[in-house]
Amino acid sequence: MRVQAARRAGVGLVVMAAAHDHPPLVLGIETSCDETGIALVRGQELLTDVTASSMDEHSRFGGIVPEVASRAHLEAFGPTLSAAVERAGVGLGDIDAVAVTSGPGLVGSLTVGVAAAKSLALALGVPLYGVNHILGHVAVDVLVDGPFPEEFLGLVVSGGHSSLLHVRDIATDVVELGQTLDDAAGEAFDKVGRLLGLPYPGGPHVDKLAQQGDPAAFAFPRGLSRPKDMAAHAYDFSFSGLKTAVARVVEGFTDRGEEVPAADVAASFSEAVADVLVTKTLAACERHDVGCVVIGGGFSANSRLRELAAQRFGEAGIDVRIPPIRYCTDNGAMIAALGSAVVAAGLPASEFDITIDSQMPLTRVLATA
Amino acid sequence: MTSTLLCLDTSDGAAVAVLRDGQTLAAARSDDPRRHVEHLAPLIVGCLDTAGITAADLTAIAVGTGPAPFTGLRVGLVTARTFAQARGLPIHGVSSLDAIAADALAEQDVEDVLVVTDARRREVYWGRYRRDEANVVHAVAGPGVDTAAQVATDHADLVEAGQVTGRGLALYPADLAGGVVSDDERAADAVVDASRLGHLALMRARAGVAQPTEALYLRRPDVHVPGRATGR
Repeated sequence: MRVQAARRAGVGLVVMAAAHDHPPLVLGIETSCDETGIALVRGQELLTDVTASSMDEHSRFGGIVPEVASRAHLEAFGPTLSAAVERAGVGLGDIDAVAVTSGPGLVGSLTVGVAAAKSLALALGVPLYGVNHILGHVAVDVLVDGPFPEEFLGLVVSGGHSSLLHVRDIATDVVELGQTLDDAAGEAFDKVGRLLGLPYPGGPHVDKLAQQGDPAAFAFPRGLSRPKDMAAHAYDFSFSGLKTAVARVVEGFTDRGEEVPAADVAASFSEAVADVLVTKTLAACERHDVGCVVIGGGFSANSRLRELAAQRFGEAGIDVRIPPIRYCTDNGAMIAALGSAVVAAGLPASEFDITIDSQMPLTRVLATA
Repeated sequence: MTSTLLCLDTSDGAAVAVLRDGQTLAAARSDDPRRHVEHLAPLIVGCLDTAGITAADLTAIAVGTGPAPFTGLRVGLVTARTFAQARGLPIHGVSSLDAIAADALAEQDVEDVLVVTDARRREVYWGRYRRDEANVVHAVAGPGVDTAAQVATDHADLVEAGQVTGRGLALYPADLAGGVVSDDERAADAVVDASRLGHLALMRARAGVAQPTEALYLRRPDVHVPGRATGR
């Protein structure tokens, strides 16, 4: 690369909270999948959160089409930005810092958001923070349920992720206890939705159908829950075997020419997923002596997970915080919240040469070049 | 009033220039056709610095609209659009092929040129251009995307006359350069001249031509429709 006189542009730019009467105004940009989300957060207060989704364009294909999502991000970005600042009643010039999802996610989608964020930070002369999407799913809860306790566990479950985190500070001290070794929880729901002939995305459709079925009709496996698995993967998840077990049951009915009891299959499958998520998180709470769990990510919209979490964490005397569904799916507020936490922690701003990282590990809150 | 234009193109490599009243104050480029999101913003920072100006001094933005590989093209477009939005500036979209044609015809006696660039997947983006009596370069055909062999057949007159430019020439010499790899440095160059693109934008703006920034994708998205999930 030939860069003429390329300066390290981030140097010298720090957020001067002291210069204001109030905490810095952080703009958050999220484009890791099919939602273009932009939000404004001041400290721990959400001013506005605007989302444009291209889901309608994907549903007919039975899954996210990356190029369709990327094209939609390009067209949605400007209008979403305009709407966000207008609804917040601020000007673009009032923004003190720009935070953006650097990963993990779809390369083409992430690229649009990161390029836009760099341009915005450059044009406004404010610092840029490339942040981790998954940590955003936890960070967003502070906007809804108030300041976090000194430590808590974060369970992030979505169509792309299933991770269990031990959090002492969302910006500076997060330890990954476990993650899925194969499918994410939401991904398993999408696949089972397809097995049962339900429309995409499967998550909400399977959830709805499950509410009419018997959760004990089929004894589906709880992945990585046997003693020998628990020794090596106490807090890891696996949903691939479960999906296969569901497929065998469905095939069995089909092969015998019988009608598939779809509601019972959905209910028993949902029960298995929720059970294993809650059981392992509860075990981690006991092991680490933590009294609070924050659940985030699109799959935390699942009704059985919410029910079971409330019931079993409640019985164990553990505080469970699950933000409303609109903050569980991908949105700008989660990135603005995490950006605000990163700014408050005094972490250095990202350079303008940061890359996107489709596999960004949870050990990194900020992006690198 | 002084006009200070920031010019961007990410149709192959990445190119940035700053023009003040038509004079190039700074230009910078990256040859890498796959790292636009990393390289473009530092190139802009470098150009503003070299020009001795800040973002607040700019009065307009010009951006190449392709045709080009999608991900890189979007980096340039979203960067330009967002910058313009943030600073409240007018933005001018210019076909990247137009800029290459204008560059090629500016230094040659011929009136016609075929521009061919890398469309990947064994194809080229192409456009056929002519310079008129008023010295203005117009697209006669295209932009399109096709195999080099097809383009060579459709525009055999220009291929036989050697009036072909752009990186497609170096990529497909057997079809487009009569089997001879051109030693013309420009023909192998992956990077659009951002200053030239800026001049085109200014000229068209003066003429009152609308210059939208819609991406010239020329191809539909690849869509793989998954079948029913089966157990493994």
